[in-house]
Amino acid sequence: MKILKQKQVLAVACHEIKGQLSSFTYWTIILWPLLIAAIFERSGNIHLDLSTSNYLNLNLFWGNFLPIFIFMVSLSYVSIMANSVAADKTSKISEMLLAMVDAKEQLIGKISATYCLMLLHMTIYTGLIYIYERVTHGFIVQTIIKNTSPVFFVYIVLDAAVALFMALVWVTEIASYVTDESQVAVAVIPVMLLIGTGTMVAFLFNAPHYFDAGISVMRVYANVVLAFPPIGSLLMPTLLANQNVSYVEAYLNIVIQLVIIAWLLKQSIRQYRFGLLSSKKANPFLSVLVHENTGNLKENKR
Amino acid sequence: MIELQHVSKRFGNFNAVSDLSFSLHGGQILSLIGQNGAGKSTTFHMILDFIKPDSGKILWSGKPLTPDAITDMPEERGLYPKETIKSQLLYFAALHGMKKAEAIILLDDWMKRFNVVGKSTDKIESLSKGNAQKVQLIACLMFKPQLLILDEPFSGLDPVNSELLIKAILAAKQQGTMVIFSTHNMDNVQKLSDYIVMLKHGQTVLKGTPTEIYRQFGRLRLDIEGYQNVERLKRIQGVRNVTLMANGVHLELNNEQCGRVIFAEVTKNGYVPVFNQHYPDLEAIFKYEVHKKAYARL
Repeated sequence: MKILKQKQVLAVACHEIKGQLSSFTYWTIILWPLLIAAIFERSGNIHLDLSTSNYLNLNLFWGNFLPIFIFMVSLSYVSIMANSVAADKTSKISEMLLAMVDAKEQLIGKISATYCLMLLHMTIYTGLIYIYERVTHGFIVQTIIKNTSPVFFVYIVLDAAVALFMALVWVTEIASYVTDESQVAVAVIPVMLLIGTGTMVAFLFNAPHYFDAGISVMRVYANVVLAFPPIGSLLMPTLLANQNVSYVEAYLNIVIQLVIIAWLLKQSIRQYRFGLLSSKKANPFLSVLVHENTGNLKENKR
Repeated sequence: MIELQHVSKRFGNFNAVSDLSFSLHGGQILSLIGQNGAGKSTTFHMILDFIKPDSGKILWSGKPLTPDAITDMPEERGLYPKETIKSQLLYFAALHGMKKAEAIILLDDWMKRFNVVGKSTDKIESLSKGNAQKVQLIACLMFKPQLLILDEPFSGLDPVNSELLIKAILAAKQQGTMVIFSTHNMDNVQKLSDYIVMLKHGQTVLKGTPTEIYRQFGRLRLDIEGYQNVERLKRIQGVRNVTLMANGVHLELNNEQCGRVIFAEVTKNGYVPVFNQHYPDLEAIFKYEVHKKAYARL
């Protein structure tokens, strides 16, 4: 039985990956940052002098870069996930699928597929960066990674993975109530609002010496607030980069976030199963946003 | 064997299913009939373990239910429109743990059996509604489930394709598959069912084999051809209603016994080509149960 369930997770994941690899959306997600980077590279005339970079400066770079990176990756993959769940729902295949494979396996399969797609995405970028640096003899990215502390680097990889996991779990739950493909954006908005807010606050936290005044009170407060995923994933790298929190706190934060996510995942699976079967009820977020949209439309018509 | 023991389900104040019990063995077909909202889909969802009953048990060969051996074709059904028939069914095969090579052979076989127009590499969106529905049926039948649940399987099918589906269901029955289906087409219930359960507002109002159900109502309908003396028939005690037809008369009786008196009367002058005292058909029984208060008798 257990093997069959693992096979089902694998089957769902393979189906998702196959579908995305043949879709225009996935390749667009990979291409557009490359285009922007190419434009900057051609016209921006950016020079990053790493010869004087010290450990703290590099960490500050990560502290600024990681929230943006998490935001961009979440935006891309949360949309992919929302579309995938909405496609199941709107093509009316959900009930048939639920009879074959439980919501738990479906959800884990879809999330696994998203991580594989992101891994492929990053592998492509790494390859392109490697080629680019070979050609231009720039070696900026290689230098940044070489000079980054391995403990910090492992942390930021784990942190990004946890943040994305939370975003995916949440968007799946909301998207399972979608009854029309036009509502996909409405499913993505609440998740991205939270991640966007976290990103903005991360920038504010990255302002130097924010924690200097009353650090002990602030630290207790921060450790409680940051336990809630994905707020911790977004803010912690900045705090760690600024050396406002220790590695013990940062890694402990990831563990606590994972415990909370495991609990949320359990709730999410229940909601996902219910959402897939329901064509009448809406998720509270979705109903509020759709209702507001409809209300606005009615107002406009008047 | 699947067994439902006093299963009930409420949604808030709404009683979706109340005290439902039945059992079904391998190679038997049960039809679950009732109006929209009677509790058929809720029953299917409980059997599929999508929702838990509030009370009662659903047992699978005497043990708690394991829905792995069940396939379901829901009332609201669809497929991924952008995918091909082959990729769609290979995905389902993978979910059932079936090997790809075996699935491809089975798919070709089932496509021929169901006369699906087109190739397995055609996209679902290019198929007609009927053909898409056949593909959905193939997705349910090709994995040889122990229990097959079909919610309104005949809706949207033309008479030719309905016949194909009936044959496929009977073939599955012969292979030992238990089938539970719901439909509003009483002809198909009559053709297929070993056992009938009728629900009304979640309550079981009829239950049994077709013969048992017919017997509850008795042979209270009579068709006679070659005899048209309506006035004479009306005077016979036990005759409730007489309708003059093109070739004869149709009678509704208060009791079965008066059929003998009528037979003696109409054959007094010799031969009548048709004298058929029969049970009400399932459609009439269905309508009677739905509008019980309005109908004094059948």
